[in-house]
Amino acid sequence: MFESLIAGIINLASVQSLLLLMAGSAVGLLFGAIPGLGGTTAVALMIPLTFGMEPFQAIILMGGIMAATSTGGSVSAILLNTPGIAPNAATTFDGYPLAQQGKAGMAIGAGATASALGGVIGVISLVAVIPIMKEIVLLFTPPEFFMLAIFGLCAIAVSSGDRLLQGLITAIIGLVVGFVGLYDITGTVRYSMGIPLLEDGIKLVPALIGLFAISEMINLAVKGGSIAEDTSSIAITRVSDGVKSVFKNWSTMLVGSGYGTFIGAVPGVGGTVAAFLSYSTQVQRDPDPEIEYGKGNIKGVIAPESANNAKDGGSLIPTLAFGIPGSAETAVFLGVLILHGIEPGQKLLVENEPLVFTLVVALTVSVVFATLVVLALAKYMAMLTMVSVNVLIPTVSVIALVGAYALHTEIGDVVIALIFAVIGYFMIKFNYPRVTFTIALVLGTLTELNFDQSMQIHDGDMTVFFTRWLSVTLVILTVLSLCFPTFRKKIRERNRRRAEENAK
Amino acid sequence: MRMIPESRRPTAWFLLAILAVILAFIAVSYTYKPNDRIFPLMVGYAAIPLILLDLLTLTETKIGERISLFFSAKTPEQIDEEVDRTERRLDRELIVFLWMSVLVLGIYLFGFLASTPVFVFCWMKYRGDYSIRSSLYSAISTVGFIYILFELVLQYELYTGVLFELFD
Repeated sequence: MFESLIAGIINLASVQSLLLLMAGSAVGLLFGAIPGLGGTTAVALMIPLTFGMEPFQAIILMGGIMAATSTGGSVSAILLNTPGIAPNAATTFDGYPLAQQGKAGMAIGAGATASALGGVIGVISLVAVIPIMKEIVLLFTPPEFFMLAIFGLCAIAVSSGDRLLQGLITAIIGLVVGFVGLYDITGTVRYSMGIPLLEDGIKLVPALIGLFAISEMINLAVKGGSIAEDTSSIAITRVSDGVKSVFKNWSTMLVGSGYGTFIGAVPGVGGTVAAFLSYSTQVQRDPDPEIEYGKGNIKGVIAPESANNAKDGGSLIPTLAFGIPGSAETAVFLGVLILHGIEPGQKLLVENEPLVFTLVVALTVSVVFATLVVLALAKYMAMLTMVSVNVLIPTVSVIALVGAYALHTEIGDVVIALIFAVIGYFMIKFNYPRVTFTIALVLGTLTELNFDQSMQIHDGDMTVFFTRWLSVTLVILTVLSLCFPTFRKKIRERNRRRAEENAK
Repeated sequence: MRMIPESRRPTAWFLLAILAVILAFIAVSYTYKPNDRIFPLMVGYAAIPLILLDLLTLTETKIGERISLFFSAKTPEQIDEEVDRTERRLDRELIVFLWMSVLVLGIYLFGFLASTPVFVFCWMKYRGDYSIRSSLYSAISTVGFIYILFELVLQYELYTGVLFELFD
């Protein structure tokens, strides 16, 4: 293993390799920061560039992109309340309020540092876990996948704070929207209303762009003002405060990284669920009852950012070990490996171990490089919040619509983005969480697929979800996550009452 | 509706609209084969009690208060106090929706590269009261950015509009 690590470092230690890594990181940062593009698009678009490269060079370029995307996405999530990519959506909860309070620099500093540390922890986990990963991933069968998706949805609804009921409703609406289009299991096209565009389902990218980017622009236009509510109070605090806050809240970062690595390793679930679970766990486990989340808490930035970067290492575990991609991004990356004649699985780990370690080193260096770039430019990036809405609204709207169109070059996607923008605006107006809607949209297909597979394997026996130990564990976790906020508030009230009585 | 205070009525209408969508969804689900509808129906039926509970939390009744306390540990009044009070006038909303719809229509008819500068210029000039020069600079730089990134660097073929495609 040590020899492979040295080989990986040697592969990276040339001017050409470093330039490729920096180019990959720059592309990752850019694609991560522009709402609607994301790492999957970046990796897919860069595939033709790797045709003439050596396999290790292609891996370096792709590693650079994958590691930097989430870091780039955090910048737009914090400054514009529009997550560059879906896994950054949880960062908006506290990152954007911090920007509104004039602490954008601090939020970016914390986000970037948490991303770097989370990314490195994810990569270390990748190296450490590969030998035992096969057994862990194989524990998940359709009932467990189904329950994991349900647990994810409920945990995210809980993270909506005092909007649990509304969070559950929007989660269901998200699932309903996710049912539109071709159902793979039976080959039936459902709920498409005869519209050809909808026969393939509602595409995630235009829907997310509409829900998060354009709806926010509509909201700004209706409300008026600037992104920072009080421009006179804007002061870009030192980015170093944000960096220090990560080390001060190291347990938040570690738990987030753990979530990212673990959830990232579960195929198909990905960084979005990891980031939201990390966020909701942080909200629930915070020992200080006075701390409010969703209003500008730095821990609310650290938790999701460490998770969504750690997931990069995690999602590569099943990709490299079993050829099962952990996310859409790694699915495209898998295509790159195959294109270069690298077959994932035991063979890759045994015969091409230096290549695996080249990827490991590339991911590590890239995430640190991307963080340094963001930290160096954070002050300038934070100035975005001072831009007048009447400059920002038309430019962001147009770029977002181009992003909605670009992935599938389908003009109908632009209309879908607009429709979701209107839906998103009403959700903002009536205070219904968009996040649960989004995550349900992401998990909808996976949830139904695993439900149906569970029913087929177990002859329609619904008790299967309550008879397998891992599935039961997830059921218990789901129930606990739903009850925990109520119990916790009651305990807090009781403690407060006792404290008041003692004071008297 | 009379049991719901006036300030919460728009939310109630929003919820009723969601309920209508869910009922339509359930009705459509029954037109599919059992294998295609079992999970959607489970989801659809689960939504109805949740929506009704949410509607109850909007009423000024004891049961509404209890439901609100159970799900959020706050009374409806406490939640009202935390609501964003920014005025969102209907006429403003309609005007913004119209602007965005015109942009999408413009993209459909004339494509991205023609609609972008016009939209950015008009928005800045007529909604933002910027000078012609500033509006023009922003319009040109936005379309330039889109052209360089998407057309030149990424080599996407941006949509040229249904009208221009007629002449191709």
